[in-house]
Amino acid sequence: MPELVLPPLTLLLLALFGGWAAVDGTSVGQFGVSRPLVAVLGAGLIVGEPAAVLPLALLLEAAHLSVLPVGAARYPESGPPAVVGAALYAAGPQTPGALLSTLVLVLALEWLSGESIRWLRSVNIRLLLPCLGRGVRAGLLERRHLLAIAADFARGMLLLLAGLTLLAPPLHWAAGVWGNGVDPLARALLTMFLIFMLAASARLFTGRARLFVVGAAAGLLVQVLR
Amino acid sequence: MSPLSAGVRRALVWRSFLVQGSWNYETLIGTGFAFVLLPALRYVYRRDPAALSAALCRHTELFNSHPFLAGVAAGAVARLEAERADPEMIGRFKTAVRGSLGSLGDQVVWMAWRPACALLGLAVLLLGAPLWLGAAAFLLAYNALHVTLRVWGVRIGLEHGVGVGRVLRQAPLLDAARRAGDVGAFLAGFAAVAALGAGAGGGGEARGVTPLLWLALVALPLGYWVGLRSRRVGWLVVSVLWIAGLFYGLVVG
Repeated sequence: MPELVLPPLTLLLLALFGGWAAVDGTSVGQFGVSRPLVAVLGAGLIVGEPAAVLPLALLLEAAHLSVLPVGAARYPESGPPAVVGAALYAAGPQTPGALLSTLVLVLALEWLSGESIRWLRSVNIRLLLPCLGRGVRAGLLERRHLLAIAADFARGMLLLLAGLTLLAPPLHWAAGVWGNGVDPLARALLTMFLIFMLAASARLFTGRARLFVVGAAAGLLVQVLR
Repeated sequence: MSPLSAGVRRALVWRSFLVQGSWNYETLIGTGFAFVLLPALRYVYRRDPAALSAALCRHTELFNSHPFLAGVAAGAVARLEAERADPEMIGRFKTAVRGSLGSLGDQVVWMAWRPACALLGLAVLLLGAPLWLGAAAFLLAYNALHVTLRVWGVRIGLEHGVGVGRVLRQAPLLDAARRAGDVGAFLAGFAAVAALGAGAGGGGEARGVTPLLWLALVALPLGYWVGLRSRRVGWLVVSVLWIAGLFYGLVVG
């Protein structure tokens, strides 16, 4: 079974970008780099296939629309898994079967990635314990806070490397199996999934069914005119 | 006129981007809040290390807020500390604002602005634009409000101190959320139908509407009905069919 071979510089850039996508999710800035739309583009640029990864960006972003980081809720993490998925999909055969396999495995990785955030938040308690209570020093608080951010960055890099290593063989195998005459089914499934997720996102905006219908009519008109 | 120097005010804004850096289940963003506040505390208690340590101890306690609006509380608390307000009163103020800053930010940003911006990016892609353009549309629209809220939040906190709640009530934030919700609902419908033509499974190339029309007739109302449980349901269904497809492929192959 052929394995994923990436030049060391590409791998390093992907790992750094994975770390950035991880900290962008919560720790630093939250500028939106961790959103699948942006993370997939970044990974696509790094591996030199920005156009090929477009369908994956669409699917992952649509799947992430209903994820709301409200309060201390448990939620899947989008950034590093999206980078993993884009790198693997770009390196593979880029068939509908490969795209479907990437989608299923990346969504699973998003849950694992979310669990690693919960683990890090538990670790942070121990990391920050010396900064709580009387006699706390300002310098120590600053160092521990920045250390927690560095730990989150390292978590993202590790997730990226682990994801690439662990998902490449099953993805390659699954893409090959799905290529055996069932690609039309993969295509139909992906299209249904995308429409399903996009339609579901309308429920975020409660009490606006009429605007959803107007939007759908506008979309239909554009499709007919094209 | 702020009692804090311009450098300290700038530091508050910059550090507000790191407020969630040490998020934990004990103090939530409490330690991050103290990290943001630190330049102001150092400035105010520059001649009294014991008072600085005591102030830090108070501000590392449990605190939570929407990250984009945490600067509102940080600015107001920085002003109160500069005015040497009673620590108990500062504590009560923090307790009073944390719930409302959290729910306001959730309503405006997480539940309206961000999904609407993401749908804008998706709609741009589904109209045939390259990926960089969709991503740029999302980033520009989303960060326009994001960065504005961060900077504005610290500023109004510093200017109004304990009176910042009145300023927040007068600000058109909920109105912006309503408008973003309208746009988001429209874009969700638009994108769901446009997805049919873009063909996610076909590498992004444009296809006709007719061959897959029946798919939309099933997936569109089903997705709307399932709503926010869609991710779990969608993943489950696709995973089961994916595994079934693997079995089929193995048998045929």
